[in-house]
Formats: sequence, C-alpha cells, structure tokens
Amino acid sequence: MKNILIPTTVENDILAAVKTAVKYTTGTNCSIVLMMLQKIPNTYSASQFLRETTPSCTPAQNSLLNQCREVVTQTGNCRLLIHHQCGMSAPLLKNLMDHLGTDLVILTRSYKEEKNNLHTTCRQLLLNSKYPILHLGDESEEYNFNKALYLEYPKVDLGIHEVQKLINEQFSFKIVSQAKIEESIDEMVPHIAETISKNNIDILIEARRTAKKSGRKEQSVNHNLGLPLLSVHAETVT
Amino acid sequence: MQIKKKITITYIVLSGVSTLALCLLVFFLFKQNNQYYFLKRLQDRAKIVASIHYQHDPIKAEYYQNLKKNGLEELINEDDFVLRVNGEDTFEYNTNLDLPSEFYADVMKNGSSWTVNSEHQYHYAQIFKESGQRYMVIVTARDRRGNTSLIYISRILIFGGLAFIIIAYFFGRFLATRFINPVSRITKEVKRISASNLHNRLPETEESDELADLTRTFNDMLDRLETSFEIQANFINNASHELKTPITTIIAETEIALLKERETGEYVTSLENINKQASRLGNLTESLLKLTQTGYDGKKQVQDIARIDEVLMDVKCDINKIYPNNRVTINLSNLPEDDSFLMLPCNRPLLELAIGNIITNGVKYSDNEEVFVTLSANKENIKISITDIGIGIPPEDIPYLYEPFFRGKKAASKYVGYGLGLPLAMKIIRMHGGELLIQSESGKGTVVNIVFTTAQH
Repeated sequence: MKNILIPTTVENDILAAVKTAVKYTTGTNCSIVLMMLQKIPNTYSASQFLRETTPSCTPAQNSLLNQCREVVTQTGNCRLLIHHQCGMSAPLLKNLMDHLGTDLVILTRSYKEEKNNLHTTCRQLLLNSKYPILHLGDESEEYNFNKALYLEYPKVDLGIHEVQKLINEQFSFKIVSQAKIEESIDEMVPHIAETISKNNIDILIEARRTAKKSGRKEQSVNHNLGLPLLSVHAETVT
Repeated sequence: MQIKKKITITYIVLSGVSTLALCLLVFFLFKQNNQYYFLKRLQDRAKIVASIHYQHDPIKAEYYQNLKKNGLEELINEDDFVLRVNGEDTFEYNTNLDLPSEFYADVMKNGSSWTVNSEHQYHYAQIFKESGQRYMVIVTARDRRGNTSLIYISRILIFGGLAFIIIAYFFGRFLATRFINPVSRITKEVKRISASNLHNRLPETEESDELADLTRTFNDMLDRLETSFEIQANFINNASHELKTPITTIIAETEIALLKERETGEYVTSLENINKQASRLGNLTESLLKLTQTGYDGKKQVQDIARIDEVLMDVKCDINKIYPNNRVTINLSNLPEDDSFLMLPCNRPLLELAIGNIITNGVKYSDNEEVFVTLSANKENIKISITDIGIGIPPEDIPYLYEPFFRGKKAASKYVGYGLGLPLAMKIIRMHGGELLIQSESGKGTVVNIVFTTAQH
C-alpha cells in the first residue's frame, strides 16, 4: 500500500492511526495524508479568502502533529503530508482521492464522532466510495493485525474466497472465522465476542455496498466489540 | 377451501373480468363504427339534396334526383328537408320535423349536427351556402340494419363469453392440477417421514423452481432435525467416544513424563502438550454441547475458516499420538495454485473429529496397513479421498453404516469399537454441506470420498 488518507480533526487517536498507517505501507515512496477539513468562508475577495482560510492549531494539536511527523520520519520510506481542504463534495473527494492515489482510508473514533455537518458529509461520502476503509477501534495505541473475523451480510453476497483474495493483495492477516449476519448484528454479538476472545481475533472485516445506512451499521459493531473494522467495497472484488 | 379450488375460481374470475372488458370494448367500438358509417351516408345524401335544391336547370336537378334514387342504396324511412336560414337565429320551420330546439341551436352554431331517437331514427343536419343565402339541409333515416347487427354482435359476445368461462373453468382446473400436483406429491412424501425414519429424504429434482427449492429446504430441515435428534439422543455416547482420544493422549503423556525424573524443560514440554490436549478437550466438549443444545443451525454460528490441508495435518498429528506406527500418507500433490480454494468455513474441532474418525477407521480396520489420504480442490469443491486396504464392508452392511451402534459382523468379531464414529462423522460432514460417499469391497478395502461444495449459490 502506498498512499493512506486519514481525515482528522487532530485528536489524541491520530497518533495510533498514523502508527497503524506506517505499519501497512510498503515500497519506498509512500505518503500518509492527514486531511483537515474546514468550511469555505463567505468572502468578497481572494485575499480575504486566503486570510480567512489560514489554518490554526492549538498547541496540543501542534504537539500531536509533531509526534506524528516523528513517527513517520523514523520509517524512512514514508512522508507525512498535511492537506487542508476547504469544503467537501462528492466530485471533489473523488478527484482528491484520484490525485493522491489513495489505497486506504483510515477513520479514527474521534473523527467518526464529529458532529459538524462538514465532517459527517465527508464521512458519508467516504462510506459511499469504493476505497477500503479501516475504522479504528477503542484502543489508542498502535494496532497489529493477525487474525480476522469476516462479517458476512446477506445483501452483499460475497464469498470468503473473494474477500481473502482481496485482503491478501494488501494486508498480511488471515481470516480465521466467519459470522453470517442474517438480520441484525445484535443477536450475533455474544457469539462473535466469544469467538474473538477464543481465537484472538484482532480485526473485523466486512464487505459493504454503496448504501446510505452502512455507516450506522458498522458503528454498532465497533461500539459493541471495540475492534477495528476493515470495510472493503464489494464491487472492487471481482 | 382447497388451494386447487381457489386457483380455479381465481382463474375463472380473472379471465371472466378480462373477457368482459374485451367484450364491452368490442361492443362500443362496433357501435361507434356503425354510427360513423351511417352518418357518413346521411352526409352524402345531405350534399346531394343541397345540390338538387340549388340547381336551376331542371335537367341537372333530375339527374341528381336519379343519382340519389338509383345510385345510392335506399334507406328506411328516408326523408329530406331544406330549411332556409333567415338570420343568425331564425330559419324557416317545418312542422313535420319533431326535433329539440338544442339540436337546431347546435346546427346553427357548428354548421352540422346529428341526433338519434329511441327508434334508431337518425337526423343529420348541415348548413349549406348558395349565392349568399344559407340553407339548413336535414336528412333523416332509420338505421335498422345497424341495430340488427348490434343485437347480433351482442349475442355473439354473450354466448362467446359464456363459452369462454366454461373453457376457463376447465383450463383453471388443469392449471391448478398442474401446480398443485408437485405439492401433493411432496405432502405424500412428507407423510412417509416420521421420527422413526428421519433419515428418509424427499427426492430432489433437477429443476430450479420454487418447488425444488421447497424440497431442498425441507431436506435441509430434515438434515438438521435428524442431526440434532440423534445427537441429542446419543450425546453421552458421542461424548464418551470422542473424548476418549484426547484423554488417552493426556494419560500417555503423563505416564511418559512420570516414568523417571526429568529436566525442567522436559516437564514444561510435557505440560504444554497436556495443556494443548486439555484445551482441545475443552473445545470439543463445548462444540458437542453446542451441537446438542441447538442442533446445528449453521446460520447462527460463528464459523472458523480453516485451510483443509492444515486440518488434515492436525488430524495426522493426533493419529500419530494414538497409533505411533500408523502408515497414513497424506498426498497433497494435487493442491490448486490458488490456496484460497482450500479454505472452508467450518466448525474446526468437529470437522477434525469427523475426518479423524474416518482415517482412524481406515487404520483400525486394515490392521495398520497403509492408508492414503488425497486432497484435491477446485473452484467448486474440496474433495478428500481416504483409501485403505483393510477388511472392507460387506454389501449387506452398507445401508446400516450410519446407524449409531451398528457394527458389521466381521468388524465386531475382530475389533473393539462402538459403532459411533462413522454416524457422527457423517452428520458433521453433512451439516458442513458436504457429502460422504463410501465404496467398499469385502476383503479388499474401502474408499471414502468426502466432498464439500464451496461454490457460492
């Protein structure tokens, strides 16, 4: 994986996200992009626009960003880019992702809990896009993925073989368990939790279709199980 | 009410309604068409009458008279009137005409109009203009033929409609019989199946319609029922039978460890082995318990994704511990290039148990001769073939192989066993969507093929 996008509001869990991202970059020329969104200000002139859109960070955020830079510098094959984005729309996001050549998007817990309209829009657009998305879990330290549990939703109809093939291309972990979700995830949660502890599962995988409610669905898994969730788009698997 | 009757009645009602709608449409279109052509004839006559009226030349007027009389077909009650129009709303009135004033008003306004009374007497009026003077020409005639043909077509439609409904009744019955027969067949088959012969299945058809689906669903349900029924009934037997292996291993391990004093490292290894076997025991007990508790409803379980070659190697390791001199050969040379074909969603402890039971049978009933295990896989299925050169199974024993506690005469006289391993293995394989095929020849050996279908439905 070469390019990883992390939309963020620079909270504490950004460090774990960057560390995880660093771990999954391969090759010598990789970039981790921290995307910081802001609203387009109402301005009358170009110079006023430039003045209004100057990003501002708190000292705590600056220190977090510095820590991220340090982590990335130590790797030798990655660079950290900070991308300030004014406003967001579906074509804008698509072009941005194409331009950056994004292979994976990492969503942190804090970013998913952002209530700001701009961030919720961006999150929804990302969920509707075809890029693989890694939703990070509760823990704020770096993640190490070895064993995965595949959540099979009836509407997606994607076999374990296809998913494993897709995972093999980009990651090194193995799918060791599979849960078929017939109606709601809630009734399966005790069984899944038991399997997670028995088989030492450290990541969940789901295949999603472009659906408006997918965001809500995966969040409930995250909330209940606290594990990171890799969501791949069913249509990218052929 | 029986579904057969319901289908027939629904069919009759639906076809009746559609036929009625068609009849009404035909009737009205026919009536309109008749009216149109009759009015057209009146219109032609009105033109001729107007021409006669204008002619000052008596020869030409006579010519037109003859044309009207001989050239056009005579109409019943035919008559014509020419009324002079004096002003915007005034015209000469003829007392022979008994027409409503609205009709005249309509003619004055639109230039032409027509009306018909209850005796099918048509009146057609049109305004003509001749050298600045306007005339209203009214032609009247009775359309008896139109009326007769209307009655005629109504009769056709009524009798045709009735005949159609009678035909629809027979068609409906035919349709109902055709659709219900397979269901009746299924009902008949299902009645045969009771608690005592749960192993019976409905014959599956090659078709892919809803009824074939129903048959399959029913068979699946029977699979689960049978499995949970028997597993519940035989839990203690199965548990005792299957827990024997890990317990034997644990005992052997402890006996070896206790033979003499050993280094700490050796004890650690020994304890690790015991721990491993004990946790397997735990897993197995749990799996069997779950199986007993819920039957096996694969949908509500979190399944393990296992590589079938790894499962086979694990089984081989276990067999090595119980039969250290076994000659089981696992042939993995036919493996596919794409190793994802080897992955099977399963309950791993149970699957290991099932395959282990079958291979152990091979070892046991061949007096530790060679047992070949061949694994092959492709996109659609995974096939494990277990071949031994043992005592084989006599043909008369084959139908009873899957009955718990059944033991063949030859096997029972020479070997210790309980007749529980194969029935349980078969059930476990079946609930993983697999098939167990046994070919055997007495005295020569047995080939057991296990086929798991992995392709997506």
